[in-house]
Amino acid sequence: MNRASAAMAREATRQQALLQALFAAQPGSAPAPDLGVRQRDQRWAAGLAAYRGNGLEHAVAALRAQFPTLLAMLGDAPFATLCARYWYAYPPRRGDLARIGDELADCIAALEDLRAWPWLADSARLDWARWAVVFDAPAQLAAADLQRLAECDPTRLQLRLAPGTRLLRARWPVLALWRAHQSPDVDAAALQAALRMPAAPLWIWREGMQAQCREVSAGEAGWLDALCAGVRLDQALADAADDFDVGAWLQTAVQHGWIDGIQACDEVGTRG
Amino acid sequence: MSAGIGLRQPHYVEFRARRPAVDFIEVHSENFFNPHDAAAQVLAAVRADHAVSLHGVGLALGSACGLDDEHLQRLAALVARIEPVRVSDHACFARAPWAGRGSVHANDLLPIAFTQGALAVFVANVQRVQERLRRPILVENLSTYLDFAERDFSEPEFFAELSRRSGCGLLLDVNNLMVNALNAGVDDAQAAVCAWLDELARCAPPDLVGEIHLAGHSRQHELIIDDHSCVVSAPVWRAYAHALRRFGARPTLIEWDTSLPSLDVLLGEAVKARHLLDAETGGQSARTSSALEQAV
Repeated sequence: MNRASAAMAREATRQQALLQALFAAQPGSAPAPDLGVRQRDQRWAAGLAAYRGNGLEHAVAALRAQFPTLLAMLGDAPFATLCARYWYAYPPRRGDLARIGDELADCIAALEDLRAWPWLADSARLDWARWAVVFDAPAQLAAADLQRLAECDPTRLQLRLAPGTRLLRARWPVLALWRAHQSPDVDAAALQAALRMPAAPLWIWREGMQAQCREVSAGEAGWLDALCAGVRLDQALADAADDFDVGAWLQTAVQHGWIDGIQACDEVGTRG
Repeated sequence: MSAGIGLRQPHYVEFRARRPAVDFIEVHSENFFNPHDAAAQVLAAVRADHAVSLHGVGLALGSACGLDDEHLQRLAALVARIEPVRVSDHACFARAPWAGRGSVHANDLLPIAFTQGALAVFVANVQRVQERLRRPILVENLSTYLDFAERDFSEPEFFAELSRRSGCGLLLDVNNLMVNALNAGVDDAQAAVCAWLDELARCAPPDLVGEIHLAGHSRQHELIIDDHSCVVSAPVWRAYAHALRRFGARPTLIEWDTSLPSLDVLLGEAVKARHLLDAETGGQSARTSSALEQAV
């Protein structure tokens, strides 16, 4: 290693040491030797605390915006505690706080002491889907796509869903829980009633600058799963329930901007 | 010469409705990376009436592990869409390798050492950004709460050398200098800042300073924190006047990020900067003194 490479490697080591200090669950009382900071004792602790506090403060602010239902369920202080546990266990991979919450649901699911509230992870998944779809591009469906649908054999067509759509299979009635938490004062009876509702797959989509969401039947979920997998229209229909009305679905889909395009099969691969 | 304000989300609606006569606005680049969300529409509309300076907080130019390709790609796309008057980021690092996660980005402006190694990292990363954007960028001096014993350069020397080797400019943040001087516990922080500026003027290439930032700071526990939460302090205004004498009139921005005031308060701070810039441009020391008296 030449002198320049060694000098750069020294900085790499220093930077790793500082990040380790920032994301340690408990701050160290003295700086690591690799760090080479000038500050000691109380001044070191104050400087480290300034960085640790600033990073976490920004993370909590971002996560509050991204997970409004979770925030309403937990309240300010427990939510902030959860954010801190997430911050230290899943340090962000990107320099973009708008995407910091992408692993929060996984973090919640892995926390043993939250098992008493098993719907929290699914609720976080719904919050995240609602947040994420409005960052996706709007549907690009054109008249030529619809013409292709009208004129071509469905065994030769593939329907591409808009980027701002998500199918969420939750084990808990998270849409009912989401509705119950739209009120600033959540009624305990309403919460219990929501929890007694059956769980159903959820379809989340971007409409204008807003996220929309509705429950879908198992048949429609099968159809959507197939479309998400990118199979041919005839194969997707085979995955839908017998009573699934594809004509009505297409009409609704066009109206709400769920379809990004319809293309001929020879342009795409087929399943199996 | 122009004075601008940082445009933040709570002011979007009022700013668009009033279209105030401010010379430029500056936004945090990362808040506008997504071309499909509401913020992108706001910036496109603002851009129709105002020059826009893009100020990043996430490139992490000093990271020894290199830049995040996706981040740079998204910045390049934003620059192409907005055609900003200036593009800047900070003299910090934020990324490093992390077991099990590839790398981690602290989403903060973490301090770097003023060493040959850090300079080599910066030169490589800045050059890569400039090649991708096909334009020079400005790099801002940091406020820091920790610093490093090992150093091969003073901070002004570091920026002068970085500019010589990479072609980038300096976004001179006068408030950051003041925060560092106060946290260092020097007897006369304003004099320390002016000495820093004098040293920069001695060692810097011509036209190194491409923009100046002014902001407020506050004391939190035992440290002065660069929280951009209040008006520019009197010592910072005086140091700013000193900077203008050393480097000439430069586009100047009022930053305010927390405890955001009314838009009029923010614009009022920009007017104070504008008076000082006008006086400096006119070469009238009496006017500069008068504008400075009004500012403080």
